[in-house]
Amino acid sequence: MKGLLFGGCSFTWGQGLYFYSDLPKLFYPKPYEYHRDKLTDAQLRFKDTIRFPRLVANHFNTFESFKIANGGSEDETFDFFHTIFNFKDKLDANRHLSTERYDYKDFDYIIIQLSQLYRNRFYFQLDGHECFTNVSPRSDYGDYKLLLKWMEVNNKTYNDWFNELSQLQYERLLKELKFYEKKGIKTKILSWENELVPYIKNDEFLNQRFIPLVYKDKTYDTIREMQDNNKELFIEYDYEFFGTNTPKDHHPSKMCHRVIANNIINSIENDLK
Amino acid sequence: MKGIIFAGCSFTWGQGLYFYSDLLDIIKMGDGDFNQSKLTHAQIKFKNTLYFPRLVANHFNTFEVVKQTNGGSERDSYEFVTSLFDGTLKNHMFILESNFNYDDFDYLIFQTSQITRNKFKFIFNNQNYEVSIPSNGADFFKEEEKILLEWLIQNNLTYNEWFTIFRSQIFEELKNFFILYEERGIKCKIVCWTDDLLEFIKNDDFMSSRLISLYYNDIKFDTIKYLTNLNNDLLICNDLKNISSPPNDHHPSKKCHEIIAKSIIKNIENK
Repeated sequence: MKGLLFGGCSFTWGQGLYFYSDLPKLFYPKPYEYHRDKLTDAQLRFKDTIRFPRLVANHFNTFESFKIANGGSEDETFDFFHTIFNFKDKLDANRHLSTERYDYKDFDYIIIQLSQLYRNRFYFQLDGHECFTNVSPRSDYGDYKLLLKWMEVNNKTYNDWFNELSQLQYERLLKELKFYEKKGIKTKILSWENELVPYIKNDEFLNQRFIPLVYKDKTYDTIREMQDNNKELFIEYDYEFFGTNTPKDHHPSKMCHRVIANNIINSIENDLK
Repeated sequence: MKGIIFAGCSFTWGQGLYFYSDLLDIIKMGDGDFNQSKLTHAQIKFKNTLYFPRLVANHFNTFEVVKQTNGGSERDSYEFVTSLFDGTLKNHMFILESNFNYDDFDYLIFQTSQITRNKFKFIFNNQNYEVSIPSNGADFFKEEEKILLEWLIQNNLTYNEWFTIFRSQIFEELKNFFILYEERGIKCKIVCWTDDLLEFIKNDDFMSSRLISLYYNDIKFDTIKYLTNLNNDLLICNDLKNISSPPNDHHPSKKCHEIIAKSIIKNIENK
């Protein structure tokens, strides 16, 4: 098999997996905090070895590629893909995403883990200016007040905003996946949150590429649903590994990465049958 | 387990392993015309999945660190390992944008290369010299080689006598390097490609206890060269079973990397 290209947020990046290492200088941040400067290069390399992209690649005796920066949304995912395929002569471009450059023919699969929808840029006109936000109007950080003002001026409800954003993201996902399929790369999707899942399931093209997650004989549409029903799949509740003093980190546990990897592997192997 | 450092030449780097991939447009470079810039990121990342450092690291559920540039000598390996810890890596040719602490690693696996890739250090007329070894021992053409020749005459040494001194010099450097890193808490192991240093290693308790023998078909080999001499198909150029038209590449085959990895794993697990 050729390479496997992964897109996603901190769930794919493997945030928190360094807590499973024997390495020194592990920094335990407060819940929902992340400090890149507190992580050593060794810890970063270690977490790469147990995150699901490496597990899937190892299974198929090939390599994986994923962006350097932690976190993000589908915006960053598609920026990352665009960077590695299109900036061969601009090696300094988007170095936070990748310093690697590829041809489409280097990959057999793209696997995209969808993040939280609102993290993607939502563009709108306000007071004659084009604006964008990448926060929810229910948040209390970033440009949420700008978004609230746009909603007020245009008499939009939260649901109106959410439906517009969802429709835009659904259309973008479909367009991007079709683009890469035309380039000869097969695509797969899995999701952390449920936001786009109804759109995916109502679309034959996307639904065929959607990977539901099976764990302990139950099937879940999202990583969140799977984690909520199996607390050991959060780092924070992985008592078996950490004992009672767990890192306060809601990201997928080592086992959760294994489960996600197994589901991706099964999906790809079904294609190969 | 913490991380594992692998220091070595093209054998550790995995030269030629990209020929085992399904990737397209691989340029068939042989031993003499290797050019790293002709390899794509995909080909390099693929060969990293098959080289023995990754196989060993995967077995122990940890990460490996290998220099980015291909090839090199023992002294290049010392420089590489030193650079991991001295804060110079961000501008270093070997690995980009990584810096480590001694306690990030449990093991250093050192693969010896051909010792003639190192320069010979000597003092002549109260001046220090470092001279490249002439490719043909009988011919000393360059200015620095002529100085070496004068030194040999002054010390009444034959080429063979000198070569033993040279081997001893490289061996002592390697042993001192191991002692230094063991003191820093990193266990050191040695895998030999050639037998240049083997006699010295076997005659030294400290080093012989760190020598990793290679096992294949129930036969024990002390060097990669002995292994591939007896099993020619463990060279890429002879691996007709897995590559239909193999290039003129005399580096370890995929299978050979697996054998080396298993031998390292066995050695670590037995200690």
